[in-house]
Amino acid sequence: MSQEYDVAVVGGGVVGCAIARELSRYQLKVVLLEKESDVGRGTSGKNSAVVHTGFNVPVGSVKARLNVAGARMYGELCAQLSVPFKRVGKLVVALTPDQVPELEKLKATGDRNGVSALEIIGGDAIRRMEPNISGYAALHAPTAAIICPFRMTIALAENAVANGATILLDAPVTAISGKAGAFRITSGQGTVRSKLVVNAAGLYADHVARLAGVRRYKIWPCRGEYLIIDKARSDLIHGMIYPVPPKGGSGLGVHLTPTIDGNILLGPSAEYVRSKSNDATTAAVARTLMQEAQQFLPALNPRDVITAYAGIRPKTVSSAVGGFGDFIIEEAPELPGMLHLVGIESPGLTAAPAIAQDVAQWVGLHQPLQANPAFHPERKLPAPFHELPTEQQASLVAQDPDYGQIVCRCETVTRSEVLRAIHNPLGVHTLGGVKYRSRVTMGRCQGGFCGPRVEEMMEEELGLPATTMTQRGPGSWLFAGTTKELRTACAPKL
Amino acid sequence: MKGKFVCVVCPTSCDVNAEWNETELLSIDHAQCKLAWEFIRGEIFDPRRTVTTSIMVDGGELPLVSVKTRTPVPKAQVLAVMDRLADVMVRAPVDIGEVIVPDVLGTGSDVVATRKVKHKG
Amino acid sequence: MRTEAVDVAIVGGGPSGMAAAVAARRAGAEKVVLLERGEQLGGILNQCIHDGFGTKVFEQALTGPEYAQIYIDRMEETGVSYALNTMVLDLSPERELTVCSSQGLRQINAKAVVLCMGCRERTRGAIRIPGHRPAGVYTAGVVQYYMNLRNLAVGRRVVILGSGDVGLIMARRLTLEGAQVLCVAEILPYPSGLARNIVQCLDDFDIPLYLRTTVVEIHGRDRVTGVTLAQIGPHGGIVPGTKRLVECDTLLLSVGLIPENELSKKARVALSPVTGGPVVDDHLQTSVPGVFTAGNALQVHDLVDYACLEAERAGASAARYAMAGRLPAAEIAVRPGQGIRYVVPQLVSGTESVDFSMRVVSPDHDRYVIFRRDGHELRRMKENVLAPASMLRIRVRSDRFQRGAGELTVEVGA
Repeated sequence: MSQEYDVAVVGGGVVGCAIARELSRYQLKVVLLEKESDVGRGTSGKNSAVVHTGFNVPVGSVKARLNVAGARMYGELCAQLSVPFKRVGKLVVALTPDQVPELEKLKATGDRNGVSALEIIGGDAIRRMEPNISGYAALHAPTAAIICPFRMTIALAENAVANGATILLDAPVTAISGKAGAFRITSGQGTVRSKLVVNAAGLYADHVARLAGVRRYKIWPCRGEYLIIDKARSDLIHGMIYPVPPKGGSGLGVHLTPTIDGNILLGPSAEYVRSKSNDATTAAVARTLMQEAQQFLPALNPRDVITAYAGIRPKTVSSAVGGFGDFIIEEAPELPGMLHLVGIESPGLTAAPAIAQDVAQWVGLHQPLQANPAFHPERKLPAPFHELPTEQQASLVAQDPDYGQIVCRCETVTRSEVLRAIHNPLGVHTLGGVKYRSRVTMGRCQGGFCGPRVEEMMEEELGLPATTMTQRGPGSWLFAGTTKELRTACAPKL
Repeated sequence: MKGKFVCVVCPTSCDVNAEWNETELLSIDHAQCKLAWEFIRGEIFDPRRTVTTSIMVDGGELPLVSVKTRTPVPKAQVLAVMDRLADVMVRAPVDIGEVIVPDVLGTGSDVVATRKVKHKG
Repeated sequence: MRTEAVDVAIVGGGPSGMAAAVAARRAGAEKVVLLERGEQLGGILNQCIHDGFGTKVFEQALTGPEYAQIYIDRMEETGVSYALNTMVLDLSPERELTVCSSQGLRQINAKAVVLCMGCRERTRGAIRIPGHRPAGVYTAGVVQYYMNLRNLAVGRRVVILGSGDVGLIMARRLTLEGAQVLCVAEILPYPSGLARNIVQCLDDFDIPLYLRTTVVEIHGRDRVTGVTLAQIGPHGGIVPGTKRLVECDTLLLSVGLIPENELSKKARVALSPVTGGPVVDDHLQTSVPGVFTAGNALQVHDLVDYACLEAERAGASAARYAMAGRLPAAEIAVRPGQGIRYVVPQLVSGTESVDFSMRVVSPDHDRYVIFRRDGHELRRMKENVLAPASMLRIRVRSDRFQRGAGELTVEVGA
């Protein structure tokens, strides 16, 4: 028995989740299909975590329109969804006088795109703002902001579900048939029927289009590696520090970005790779990133790096062609009723809420949109225990003894907060899912103490045997069995 | 015969040169204490190890109880002892020092609990 | 918020914390309270089910749980009160502790505090191995907890990176239970763990130890499928032609321990960049008066016996401070000289005998450890075997400090 929907969204990245949430404002039956065991597992979670203002996207492009519109929505959206959001500002730093014309070009682009408060400042002003940064001049964008993209994506998904949308996880789409008004989508969680389909599959948008018979798109995976700098060095910078963009337009250049949690990100590289799943980090790029960052921030030391990660940009231009590739948001003429979002790379995170509004408009072209009277835009989370003053902590513990049990000592995450993450509205039952929702295991010890305690709590709360638990879904198993089962394997000779 | 040994009696881990014949240890040098003599004689003529492992517990606050052989067993029998203990299960409560398997594999050594495990709940 | 006053508060219920608490009571402190964040006393000893503990103090090879039980019994005998599942959220330089448990938040005002938080393991992040980020990369202590206390096995084919003692112990433990330990790789030219553990845990089971070798890449997207090993040359680069793939499902890390001192930082205790623990005097008092420390929070030990001896000194000093309000000033600076990486304590009063602990820079044999004050030799101690893995503990009697003046240096010499 297949379920019947008005709109099926393929892909649970930040764009897909923003669409599901936007569509839940209306009286529509919405389903989102995600191939992984949680939302936000692809490019959405592996980027610079920046809300861009829109000065480095060409005037008149789709990217420019959606970037500026999205950035304006973020402040309110984050407040509604209890997602931390900080306007830390951005400096694009010219190291030499001959780079100043580039700053002027960026400012002109920004002004024409409608970015407010852009200003070119001199070396002294840079040092006043950022004592550790040396530069000749800089473009200052005070409204640029940072967020946590994982928490953003999860919040959008949870709010969508609270407003009636359905989210199916572990549901890779394997076939799409039918036409507008009667699509059939086969997935790892069975078949759904839907009147309309939105292809928000990110890196795999070309593949999902092909499943429906649309062969006009090709995505080139372009890997970006990042280094994460220890919190102990968080006072090195206050806002984002960007270089003048390198020629060729494959990225924004290696930049330094403070994170919501107090680390500094350094990256990304830009390297076309053959496989979309090749998000491995490399020693060579780690060295280059450090060298490039030290040009701005000589005080940075390779020993300050705590870990590395990589994300893959879904590019619509190959490395051979190069240059700017715009967002493609269109219904292919050969298949009405299916909207393709292709090449949603940077500034996709920023643009996501605006893209979602465009998608809602498109849905409106196919069927009338009626407001959902039960829509509630807010997802209120209590403030993290560790951020509260002692008196408030005391009264919380008095009300709920689970607040008095600290599960993660590095990040001071309480049992109550872990329980909430375990019983999350999306029903994500992976160790990684609990980690991103509660911050357990994300501290200095990387779960050395709290990892086993969380695993034990999941076993108790969900009734899942530990031996079936995974880090982030099928294949990422955590245990080979019980200790006492190991001897059934061949024992070595003494 | 001559050979080099690391004495494992204590963490000092002395590097010892030893000389022996068919039946007895003749000399050792570089050992910091006299315990090395007995250990190296053992290593040559009858090497032994204490086996420390765990045993399943039914109804305990923990699923396992740690155990050891009260005295060292012949080194060649260590894995046989592990096999013997693989499917042993005891009922909680278990007391520290409690004999779990007497005279394991006829070695003359008892397997004893090295901690307390209370009833669950 | 409830407030209570105590003479000595101990943070941490592992062997050091218990030893400090018992010593504080025996030294005359009336009200001693120990705070432990876990569910049981004994700390890491509970998962160390192997034997070999206690050879220095108890002259027998005890298992970890047996060793812990000795101190648990002494806690009962001496009347130390303790709280489990209790976390110290904050500590002020005035020794006010903010304590959290499911019974509520409370404040404890202590005349003296002993910090015994132990240490944590260095993780993959700290050593930055490139590649994917699959499940199956574990630190040795976590594997030990799962195997020995939770009856959970993390994998079947295991490569161990780092030759620290916990990793060596786990090589044997995994092998005994039937897993295949393929090798231990150590980036240094010598092992990080004790020689006895190389013999008992690797040689006994023919597990190869590759020195000057490390993991240069981790393979597998969802779960570890293998690692690439390579030899490392004298200048830190990969020796060409030495890369090889080892198929495994688990990478176990034993790459070092770091003293746990987040709480010490909150109390503005000065830390040593070399040990990672507080700077202390011969009473084991930190830079904050009335705040003491011992065990792995002060310096990573290889023997629990020495951690406990140190903690007994800290506990007794804390009791003295709680009763007298002060201790003799410690103004003689102690500096590591030639061949010595660090010495603890870093300051001494010169009025009492001192047990110095230290580690050497590199392996050596048949050398002397020499204590000097401006040219005057205070003590010279012959050591047959010197290894960075083995902490040296050498006593200098109080009367010796009268020789010479100025700072004290400790060096390795002929």
